[in-house]
Amino acid sequence: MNTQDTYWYLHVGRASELTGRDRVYYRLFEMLPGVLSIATLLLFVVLSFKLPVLAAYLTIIFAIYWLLKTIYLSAHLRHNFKRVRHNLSIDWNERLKNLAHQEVTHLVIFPFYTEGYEVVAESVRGLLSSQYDHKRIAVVIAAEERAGKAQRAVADRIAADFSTRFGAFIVTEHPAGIPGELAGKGSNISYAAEEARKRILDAAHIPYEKVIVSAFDIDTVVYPQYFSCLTWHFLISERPERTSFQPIPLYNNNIWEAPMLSRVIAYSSSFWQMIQQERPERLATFSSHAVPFKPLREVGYWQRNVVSEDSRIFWNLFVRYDGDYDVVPMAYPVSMDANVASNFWGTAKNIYLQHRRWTYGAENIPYILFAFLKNPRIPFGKKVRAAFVQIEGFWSLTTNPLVLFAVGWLPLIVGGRAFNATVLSYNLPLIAKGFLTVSLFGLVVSAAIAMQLVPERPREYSRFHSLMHLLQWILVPMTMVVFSAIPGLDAQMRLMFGRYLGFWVTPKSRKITAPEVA
Amino acid sequence: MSKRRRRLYLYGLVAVFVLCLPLVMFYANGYRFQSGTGFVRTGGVIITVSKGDAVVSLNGAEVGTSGFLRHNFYVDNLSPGIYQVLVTREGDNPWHRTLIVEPELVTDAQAFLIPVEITSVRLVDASKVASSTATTTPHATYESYRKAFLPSSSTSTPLIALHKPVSEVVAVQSGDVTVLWTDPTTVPPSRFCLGPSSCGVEIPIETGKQTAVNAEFFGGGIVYATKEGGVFLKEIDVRPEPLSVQLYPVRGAEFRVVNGHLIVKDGTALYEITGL
Repeated sequence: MNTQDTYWYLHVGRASELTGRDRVYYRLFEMLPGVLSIATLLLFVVLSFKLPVLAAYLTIIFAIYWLLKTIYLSAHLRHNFKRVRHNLSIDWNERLKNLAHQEVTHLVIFPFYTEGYEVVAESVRGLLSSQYDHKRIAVVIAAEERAGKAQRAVADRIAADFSTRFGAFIVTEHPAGIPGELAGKGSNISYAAEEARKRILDAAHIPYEKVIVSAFDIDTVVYPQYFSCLTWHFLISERPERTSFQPIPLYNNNIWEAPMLSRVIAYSSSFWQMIQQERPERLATFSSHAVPFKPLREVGYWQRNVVSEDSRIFWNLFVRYDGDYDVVPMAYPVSMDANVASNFWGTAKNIYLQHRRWTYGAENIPYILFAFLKNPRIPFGKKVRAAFVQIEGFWSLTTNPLVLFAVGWLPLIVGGRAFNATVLSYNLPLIAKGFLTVSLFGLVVSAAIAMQLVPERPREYSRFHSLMHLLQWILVPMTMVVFSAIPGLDAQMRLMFGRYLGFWVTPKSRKITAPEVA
Repeated sequence: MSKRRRRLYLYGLVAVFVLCLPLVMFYANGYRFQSGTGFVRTGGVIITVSKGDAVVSLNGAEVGTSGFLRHNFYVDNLSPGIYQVLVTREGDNPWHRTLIVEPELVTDAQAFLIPVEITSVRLVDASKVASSTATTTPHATYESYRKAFLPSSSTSTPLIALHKPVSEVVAVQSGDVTVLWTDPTTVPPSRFCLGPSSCGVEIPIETGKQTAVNAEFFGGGIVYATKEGGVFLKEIDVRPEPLSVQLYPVRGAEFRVVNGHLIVKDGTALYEITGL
């Protein structure tokens, strides 16, 4: 089997890269998420005018479904929190004693664009704070040529300050303007990984099957036993070359500096990851993740022509190995930056753009469907399950909040006098509100867990700030609509109309004091 | 969490959903369990009160008092039947209404509160007195009122006066005053309906022995003048008993509505009805 020919579609990024019938199929699949979401919302609108009783019933059904889903997901969240707490208390180095951990090399890639020295330095210092043999860690600072000489100078300064502390340390500079590439993280870290292969792995004769790659963001700060925990999971894995590893992103680096809105969004994102970690069959890689080098190379590294390279790499591997690829949830955190700008509106805009990029993960849906069409070797059940999980996930992300907090109430406004004279129209807001109010008690769970995950309050912040950390959760209904559903719909509409998204770099800035790791 | 426990959660919650859904739907539609009668398809009543400090009662039981934040009184879980609504407010005539409650429907009504004391203020042309006082009317305004009563005036009362929405009109024919709903494509407002599901297109305002000469929409009701009795204000509602008040009890008095003011002409004198 000529692998190159068999999996020719592995790195397809968009329909325009294909021709003929393939292009038509891919284009239709790109339109699918947007069509489903818009159709759902339009259905509610049309029903509100034409059949308001049916629309009211659907709203009530949604409200009950939402409450039960909240209970279900809260149970997952609580379980994972217990697991995280347990994993943070374990001495993973102790667990490694009877395993051949000395053979494992960690390749850490930090993609780097215009961030300042301190942001990069904190992340590298985080590696040095880890309780792992630093000589078994190889670091790659992946710079971008298009960022300019000043940024290259920052990378070189980082190398000068820290390189001797690690087993290997290189700076790469991703050339600008390579045809077919989308400027961004995926193309940068793919270039960096290939450079690392030649300059580190091959140069030191390190076998690829003993290397785990951690693809971080430039602001990712590891918790002390991240590498030990990752090594353990890698070594005890039944199929280490068919498994990626997913830590939990906590946005704790600057959580006390971040405004309330940013904190709620950050914790909501972390909680979603924690929930997903209790459902590993639904898990794809996200943000900072780890992948064994051998399969990573076999699949051609991360795609250079997509925005969501972090999740796409999982699907590349899933398809390449005919469905025989999984993600193992580590239930162990890494710390990253919450979104902070110089003013509230700047922060709000950054959060919106960041979430639009994250929800652009819907671009994986056409990829998955197309690849499933082309690959008959993936078991049919896995195809159906994977497609359903992805489509349902992105559909509910955009529609559920908008139905519950907006269009679901339309029958009351446009239902007409005949509907407004029914007991149903009077009970609709009472019943839906009742279920939603009970659902909001789930926020109490969220608030309690968040307070245990947040780093210790710095002295310059008063108890009032701790109180605000509790009260911030009342913003959730608003953030669900404004910073989740709407950017999600925005992303899906862009995909639907072929106005493909480029990569938007989340601005990272931080005060100089190093964050305390919980 | 183990797969087994997750499945238990999932199946349990699905079972809750399947069991809850029909119960919630029945409840949402007004089904209630009443001991002795079993499940009853109930209806509701909603009374709107625009003024504050009005006490609302249903079948003699107090429902509540209107205030700054409360103008609507919704009572549900009512067995189908006939209910008496009473709204009282100090200084206003009490408002009674007999409402029919039907299954799964809400009957609505708006309390029409008219002050007990209605004042008619004599208007004096400011140009006709030596010094203007607070009780005189600017000459231009007075003239506009006076001209409104002239036979050739464009504001002479038509037989049909329009309302907003224009689908509701008041007609004076053969000495009777009737409010008509003229839009066959929409359901008329509840005041045209004896019960929530039995609506007509006419509300009789004055069909008795008096001869109406003029009628207009004003103050939430109909102001009409009769040859025999003077000027009246009556609530627009087909349900018993619409409130009716005599505004100016002088035979032969006429009225006009000019720029939102109710002006009565008694002989040569002009009066403005205030306090409504």
